[in-house]
Amino acid sequence: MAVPAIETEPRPRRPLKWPAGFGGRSEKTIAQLLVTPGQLLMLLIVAFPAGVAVYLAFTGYQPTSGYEWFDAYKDWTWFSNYWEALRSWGAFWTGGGFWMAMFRTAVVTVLGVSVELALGFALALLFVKSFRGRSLLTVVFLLPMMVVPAVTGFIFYMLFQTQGPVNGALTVLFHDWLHLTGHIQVPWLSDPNIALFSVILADIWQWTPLMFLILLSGLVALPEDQMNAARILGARPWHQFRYLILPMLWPIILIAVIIRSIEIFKIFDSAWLLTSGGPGDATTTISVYLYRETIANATRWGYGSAVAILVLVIVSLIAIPAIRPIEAAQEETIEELVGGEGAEVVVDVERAVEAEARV
Amino acid sequence: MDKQDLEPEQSSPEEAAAGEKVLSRSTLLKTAGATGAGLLIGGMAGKAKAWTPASYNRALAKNRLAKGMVGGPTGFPGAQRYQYGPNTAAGRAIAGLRRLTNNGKKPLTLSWRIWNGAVGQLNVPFPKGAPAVSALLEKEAGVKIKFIQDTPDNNEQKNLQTLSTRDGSVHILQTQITDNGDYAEGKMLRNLDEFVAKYKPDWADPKWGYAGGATTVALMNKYNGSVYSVSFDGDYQVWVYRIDLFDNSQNQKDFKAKYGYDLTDFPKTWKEHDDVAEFFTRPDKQLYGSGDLKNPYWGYVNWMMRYVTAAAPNQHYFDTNAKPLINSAAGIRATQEHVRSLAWTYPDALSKSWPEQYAAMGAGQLAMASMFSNCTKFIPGNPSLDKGFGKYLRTALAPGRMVGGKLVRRSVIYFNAQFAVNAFSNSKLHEAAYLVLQWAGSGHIFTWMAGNPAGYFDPHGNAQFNDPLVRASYKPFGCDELKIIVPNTAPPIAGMRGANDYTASLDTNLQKALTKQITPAQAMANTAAAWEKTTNRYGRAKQARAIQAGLAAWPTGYKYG
Repeated sequence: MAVPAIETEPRPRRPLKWPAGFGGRSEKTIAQLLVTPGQLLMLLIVAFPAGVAVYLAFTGYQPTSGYEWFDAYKDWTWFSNYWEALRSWGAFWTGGGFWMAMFRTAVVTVLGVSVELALGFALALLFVKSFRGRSLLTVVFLLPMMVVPAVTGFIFYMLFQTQGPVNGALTVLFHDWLHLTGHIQVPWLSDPNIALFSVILADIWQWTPLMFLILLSGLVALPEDQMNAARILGARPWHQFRYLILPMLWPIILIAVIIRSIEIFKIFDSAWLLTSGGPGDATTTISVYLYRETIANATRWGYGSAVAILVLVIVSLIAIPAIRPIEAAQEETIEELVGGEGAEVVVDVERAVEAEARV
Repeated sequence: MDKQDLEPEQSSPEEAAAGEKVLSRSTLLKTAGATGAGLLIGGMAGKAKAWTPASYNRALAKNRLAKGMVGGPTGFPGAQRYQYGPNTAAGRAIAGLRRLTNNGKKPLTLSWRIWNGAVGQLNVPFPKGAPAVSALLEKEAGVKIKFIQDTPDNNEQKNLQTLSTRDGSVHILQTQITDNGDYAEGKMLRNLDEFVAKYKPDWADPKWGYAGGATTVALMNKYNGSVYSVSFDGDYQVWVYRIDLFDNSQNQKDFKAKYGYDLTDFPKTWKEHDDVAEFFTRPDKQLYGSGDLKNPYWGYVNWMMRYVTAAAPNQHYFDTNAKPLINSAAGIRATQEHVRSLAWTYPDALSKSWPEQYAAMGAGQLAMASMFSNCTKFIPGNPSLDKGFGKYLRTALAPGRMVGGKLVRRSVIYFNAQFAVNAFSNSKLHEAAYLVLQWAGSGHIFTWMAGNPAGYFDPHGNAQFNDPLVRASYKPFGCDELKIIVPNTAPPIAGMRGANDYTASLDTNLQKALTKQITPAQAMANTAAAWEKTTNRYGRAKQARAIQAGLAAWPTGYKYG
């Protein structure tokens, strides 16, 4: 039997509402609530490992202590790890300890980055103009950067043997052709006075291409009209470089130097693979020092954490003033682009964008 | 698992002891048929040989266990040498495992972390016709091994991860003798005393055990008097020399003229060694007197060999109160000699390591060198290493010193692959993991394993040194010399917490002395100071107790030629 259809008035749809808990809350509060889980996750990812390191740094914890890391308080030592590292001045002149490792790392950083910058800049200037085979050569020059650092270590380990190719080439040049010397047998890896420079050379070979790449990108992006104007007005190449290219490229150079300094400060692969930090401590950079103290020689994770924190503080103290010129250069660039009223213009633009967003 | 595989265990003890096999009618008929067919084919081909007792034994061994044996490999001539009866270490271990697996009805899987260069000795069948060691274990006891391969360098870090995270996923861990103290104190290694008492391994057995007996067991497997690991290696430092150089009449004449005594055999004292090394150093001919390593991490063992012979029977590194003994005339002299010996070593000795040393010895560039015992296994006849000099290589115990009218000669062992039961793994499987180690490390099975060229675990017992497969691999002269070297081997810095830390301080200061950054006296003073700091950090009383227990690992002096 068919059931007669009952006609009813269509029920009015209820308007969409925020869930009860959100009622009455402002848009800002809701936004804050929505981003909180993500922020908490980030906090956990960043803060937790840092917190563990800070905690362990106050203890004499070693994984061989027989208890887990969160029980490290059983061997609470307050600041003794920091103090041990900081007072290692005594070992400075015998080549050991924290400060000597920091000093060596600073030498590697300054020398390595300087040479990489000079070579990278020179190459970039050579490659900025088009010539036959430029694309191919650019790829060839970038190849070292793509080599796995461990492989670079082994390549240079073979190259730097006393009877290896580097000394062979030097012998051909200075002994066979120029008749200036006898057979050259530089102990690249065995002499404590030379070994660090061998490590730096390996790093320069690998990372000059990065400097080249960054600076080439900067050079290519320079405003062509200004360069042409300078040329038309009779500026010599040196003047173009000194008064035009260098100032305009300055922020790029700073960025390249900072990126490479941060990277080279952590140098490990070549130092470890070429010499294992030796002979003695001769190539023990701060990363090698930490590796020795925490994994290779001892398992002093408490001390290692303290040293890592000290390094972070020291590097931050150096890096913050180093980054300031970039900000200044950015402001200068804005001013140059929009004239003396650059700041006001930016503010005006921001206001205009906000107004448009409101509409 | 096939029921037939467990047949020896299922037969009664009397039958097993008597070696009698239950022979069914169908098996009898099958065997008779196969034998008849074989004889017919062989006779037709005219190649049937006389049926001798030796060939009967070979045929028997190819197919089944010899009389009285309860387990072991089959399928190749001579397999019965590695088969074992119920009253052997391997027999007890396999019986224990069968009990734990309910005769294979409840198979077990154990994970075993192992160096990738050594795993071949456990999972590659050798010789032709034989099963792999791991396959035999599965067949005999229903225990399957899952190998987790790693490089020696990375293994150290993996162990630290296991230690810090209390990771129990791996049942058997790969360690070294220098690690025993740290890992045992870190509670990562299971104390094995209970199982040792229960299952009685053969490590100290005169026939099947380690050469050097209880002393070697203490050196390799014990920390603080307890067993924590089982040795699967023999990283003894042997001195290799070229007899073509030593036997050359012109060399003998020239040497006598220069040094006033005969160049007859490998030098017996360090003084003679240094003379010989100096004599053979001829860089213009690409020949260097002594290629003992001087590089970081490895080179210090050559200092140790000089140092430990300064007193009879031994010059120790620490006194029984954990005070360093190296900052002494003995330590300084050893360092001076070590530094001087750099003049007779090939260029770049401070960075070159084993690969270069093995290649140089095979290429005839070294007159002498201290190497691992596998040098006679890997160099002669190896086309990539042997450039025609492999056949001239001979081995000897390290030189020594006259102390109180007695000649003290000592080798030093270091590194050495050990396996231990991971204390963080499921405790119900600890016994099984130990039994696997007792079985595979037993005289019977390890001897079979040591002959397998698929890995670099070296022999350490007389059973191996007398075994035809091992002798074929390591050469008869190499094996005979090891019988003398092993009992005269002193430990490195081991058997205490922080052994790697102490060794690293020594190593770094030796490197500095070698590169003239500091004097030998300063090197010893700096090392002693660093050792004191380390000892204070770990606790002097605890370290002293470990050192006192470790005295059992030092040799008291054995006869040598």
